Amino acid sequence: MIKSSLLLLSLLVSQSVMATPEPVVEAWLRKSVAVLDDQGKSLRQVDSSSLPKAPKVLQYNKELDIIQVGLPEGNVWMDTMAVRVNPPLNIVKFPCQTLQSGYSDDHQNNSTIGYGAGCKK
Amino acid sequence: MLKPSLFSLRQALFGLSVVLIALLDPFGIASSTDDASSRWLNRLLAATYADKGQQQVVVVLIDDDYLLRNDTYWPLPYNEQSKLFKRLLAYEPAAVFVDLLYSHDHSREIPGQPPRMESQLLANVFERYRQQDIPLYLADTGLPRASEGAVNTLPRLAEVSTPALVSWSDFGNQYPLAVKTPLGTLETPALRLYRDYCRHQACTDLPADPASAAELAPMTVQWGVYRSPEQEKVADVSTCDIPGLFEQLKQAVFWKLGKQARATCAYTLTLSPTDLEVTDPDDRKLLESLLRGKLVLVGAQIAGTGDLTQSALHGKIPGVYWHAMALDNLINWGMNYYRATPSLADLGIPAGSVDVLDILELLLLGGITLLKGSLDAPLFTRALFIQRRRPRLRPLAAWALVLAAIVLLSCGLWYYNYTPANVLGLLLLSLTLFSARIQALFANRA
Repeated sequence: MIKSSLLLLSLLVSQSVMATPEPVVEAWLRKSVAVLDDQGKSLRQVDSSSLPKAPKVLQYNKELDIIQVGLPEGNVWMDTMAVRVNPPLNIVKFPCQTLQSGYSDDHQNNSTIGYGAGCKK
Repeated sequence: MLKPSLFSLRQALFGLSVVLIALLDPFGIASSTDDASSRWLNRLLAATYADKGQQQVVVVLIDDDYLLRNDTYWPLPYNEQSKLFKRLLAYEPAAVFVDLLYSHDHSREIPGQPPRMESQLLANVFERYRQQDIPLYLADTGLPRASEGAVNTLPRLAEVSTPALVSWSDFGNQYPLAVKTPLGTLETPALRLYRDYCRHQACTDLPADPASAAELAPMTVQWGVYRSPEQEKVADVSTCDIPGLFEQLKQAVFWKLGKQARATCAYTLTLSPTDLEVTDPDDRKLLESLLRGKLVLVGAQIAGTGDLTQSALHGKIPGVYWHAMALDNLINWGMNYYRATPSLADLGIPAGSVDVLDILELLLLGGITLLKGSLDAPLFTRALFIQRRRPRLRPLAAWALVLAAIVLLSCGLWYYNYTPANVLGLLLLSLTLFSARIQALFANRA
């Protein structure tokens, strides 16, 4: 009984330790940070020195790559490029892709690209 | 009555036909050799092209690899473009030109959102450039959208950007600085961005407005060959090939026998849109050093889109590089960029597209013919019953004189930033005219 209780307790403790911590804004990367609406439109600029330390990231809009941050005055949207979030929302390394080379002088492509998926009816 | 002799009439007719052939350029043969001369001289001088402009200009190139890697498509969805441009904005470039024509709204239907909302998302990002005082130029055709068959930038995107003309006619393969269009006189991307460069640098003779820029001669864009040293920090350059001078010359002569000796990687520093997504602080610092305060041009190399330009050194490459190279030329030489010699029409003489260089080449041709005549004439002439010895050149010396004249003319043109004379055409012609005499010389020696 004691053994199983201890096992359960240890499992609970390890779960809480291993659970992903809530993302917070670790640092403001710009002197002046744009406050956006939920469509990415700039509403105003705020001085990053006036912003609180380590506010919570409440939401991440992946489509627009913006985050909602809880500030004393309310929840606002901000650009992910203006902040350092911990743990990071995503990790991208330099792809170091091969540089595209030009085509030969007599290259021809006698076609036109088709519609994109956005034009599908 | 004095009658012109048959001989002098024949000579006059021959001279007239040579003049007409030289000036009218039937079948475009002279123009072809003109272009070839210009291209090869650019190739030979490319190694000495200064890197002042290269340090200021960056191209962000959307390519098929990027689309495949991100499982997306072309035209790039507006939300993807929004992300690209807002990432670029974070690195605070000095100015940005977008070589994409936003003529048709391809917004996707998003449930719960008003129609055509996606293009508004992009407009929101573009507006942020204006708020941060970073000039943003969008490709513009110079045509009013309302007119039949005409396409141009979507109004909601045009409102938050400045137009830069990307479509023009009647300039051959030259790059104009500004062109009169139905929407007024519009400047091309190179001059637009050069003005931004001049906000922080001392530039002389900058045209006061688009109208005065339109009066200036178009540019013959010169290409550099050595890629930016920064390039290898962000891309794999192991496949890049830069042909040496000897290789270029060899290929110029034996082009039918071997493969093209062309530089395989772009001259302008090129970034992928994925580079802008990097998250590591060190990587971001590197990008910041490459983009902050730079003049950035965003273009695309997508199979089937057809925006390609011909480089003297690189073959066919995305059109955005032409704008980048024209800007590079402006940064290097200011308003003393390379141009074609003025046409007689520019000087107020109504003579179509005949230019000053055509006349100079004709004079040189006359000189070559005179020399040829002196080689063919008898050594002694009898004039007024006095036997006189003609000054006579040896065939090789005569040809050397022609070469010297061609080199002198080319150096003079190069010094005054004009495109080169038709070196290849003149060389071939002089060789043809002197070949019989030179052959005879060698036959006699043998």
